[in-house]
Amino acid sequence: MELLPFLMLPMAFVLMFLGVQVVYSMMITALVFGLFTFGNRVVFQFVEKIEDLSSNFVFAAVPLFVFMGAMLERSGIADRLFEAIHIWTRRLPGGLAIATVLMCVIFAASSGVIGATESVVGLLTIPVMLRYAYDRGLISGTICAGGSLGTIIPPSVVAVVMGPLADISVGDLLYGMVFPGLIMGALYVVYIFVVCSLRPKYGPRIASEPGDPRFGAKVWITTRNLIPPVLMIFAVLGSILLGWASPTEAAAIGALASVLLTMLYRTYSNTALFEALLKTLKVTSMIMAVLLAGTLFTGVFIGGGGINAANQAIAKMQLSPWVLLALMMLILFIAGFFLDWISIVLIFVPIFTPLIKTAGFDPVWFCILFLIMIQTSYLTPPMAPAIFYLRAVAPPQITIRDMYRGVVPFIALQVLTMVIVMIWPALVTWLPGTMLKFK
Amino acid sequence: MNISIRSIERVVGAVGIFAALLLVPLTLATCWEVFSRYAMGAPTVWAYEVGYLLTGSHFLLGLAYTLRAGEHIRIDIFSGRFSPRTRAVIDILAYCVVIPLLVWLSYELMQHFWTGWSRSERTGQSAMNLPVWPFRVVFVVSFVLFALQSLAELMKSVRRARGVGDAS
Repeated sequence: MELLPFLMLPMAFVLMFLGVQVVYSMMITALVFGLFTFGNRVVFQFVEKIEDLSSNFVFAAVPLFVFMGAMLERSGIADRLFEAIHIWTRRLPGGLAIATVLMCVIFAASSGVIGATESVVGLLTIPVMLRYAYDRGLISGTICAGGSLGTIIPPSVVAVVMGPLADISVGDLLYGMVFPGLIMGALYVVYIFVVCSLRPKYGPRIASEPGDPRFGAKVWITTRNLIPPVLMIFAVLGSILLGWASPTEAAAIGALASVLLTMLYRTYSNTALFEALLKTLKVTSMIMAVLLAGTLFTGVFIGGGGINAANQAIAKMQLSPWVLLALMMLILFIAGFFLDWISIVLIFVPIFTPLIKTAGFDPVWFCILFLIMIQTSYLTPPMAPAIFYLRAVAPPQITIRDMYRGVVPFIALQVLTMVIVMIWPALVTWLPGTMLKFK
Repeated sequence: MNISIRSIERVVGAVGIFAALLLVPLTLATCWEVFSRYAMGAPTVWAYEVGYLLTGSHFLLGLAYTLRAGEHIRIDIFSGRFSPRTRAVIDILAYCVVIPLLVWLSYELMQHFWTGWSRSERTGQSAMNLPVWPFRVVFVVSFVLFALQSLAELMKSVRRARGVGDAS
């Protein structure tokens, strides 16, 4: 059995943990082992991979979805959304937190990445929730969990990257994540409602005030603030789900629509557009660089016989499919302590998916579980991007302890979502099959 | 040394802005394709090829710019505790391996361009059937710039390791 390719993983990890850029860590590892396995010919393989990856039109969805989010973040749309939602939910127990989650769902449905979204939402809602004396742990958990919904609610850049790596269609992944994403969002809302009903101190109900808008005014605010972005989301997701446009084309429509929307709300400026374009370039190049280095890495890994060896090793161990699955999820969970999503996807999707297919599982379903696991890794310390973003925008009275305490119930809800999806795979597989019949 | 860093970074900056602007034609071309398919009943001949050319050029030309901006992701959970000097030394070692690789890749990409040019190869991707060489020029430019910016980063790291110019 060929063991050499397996040394690639520790080498890449050591380089990454030394603080070398992920893209360089993977390129260096691929180069060293490539030279060892293929000699000088390895460079031809690299050239071929560069050409393949940059000629794949599917990846156009990455910059377009990133841009859509970057444009909307600068547009002041968040304020309008929050206003439109919280006038309806403010009187509920935990109403402001519920409004925050709902706003995050809408934001997630209009962009593909987390991070900046979380900062926008956090800056906007944390001061309001603090003013009404919400529990600081609950505030932290809500922002972290809500802000990272972008992965599991379509459109998702993670899915665009994952599809080609796992050799499944991006469209199927986007269909597949609709119900799991909504279930996760719904669980957050239910949890906040229940915990605030049981312990009113967590999220006190807000008494009606004389200045409250009347019903008619509320309807008007909602129509004006909520309908245009929601229409835009339906245009993008609807055209993907109904098969009218490919994910790439829908992303382009969304990018154009996001600019039009800022014009409609009179927040458009050339500076904002230019900044959004530069920001998009940096995020896209970062993602695509790791993707490129990752393909070089897995090219050498597979070429050196790594996948075959892994298959044989697993056949020898005679694991049952479910034990294998559980083992993989455990590895992903642990990897999430240390690695960011893009490295996790790049390293583990190409290695795990063939094994999962051999074990007889549906690869789309597996990728959705993978996506949910990535969500938990956003929230799980020590390497918790969601908490880093929160720290950047939170006022000092919210301590790091509040944050760690606050994310725990939401991690549990994510695990619950995963268990639900494991028990009822139809949640994932039903929609792609049904939509196929419509086309 | 300062001057060479500055001139590299100026070129990289200009190319980066150009790359960022490529998103505009990409968006418009792709929207136009959808529009003409549904509203005019005839998909365009060119949108697919133009689309992937712009997509590829966008991120490839942005590689060096992103490096300059320090936005290529690092895992700093352990290395955050190292001293600035140690981090600079690690970076120097990494750049010393990466730069030869990038130069080698640039050279091979140049050969690749030359093959496409001298044989007048075409993509065969669609009815448009563009020649392959313009896209391969983008590969060469992108990787040469990526190598140059890595060199600039190497020089900056050397300065940091010596403790000159950068107090933080």
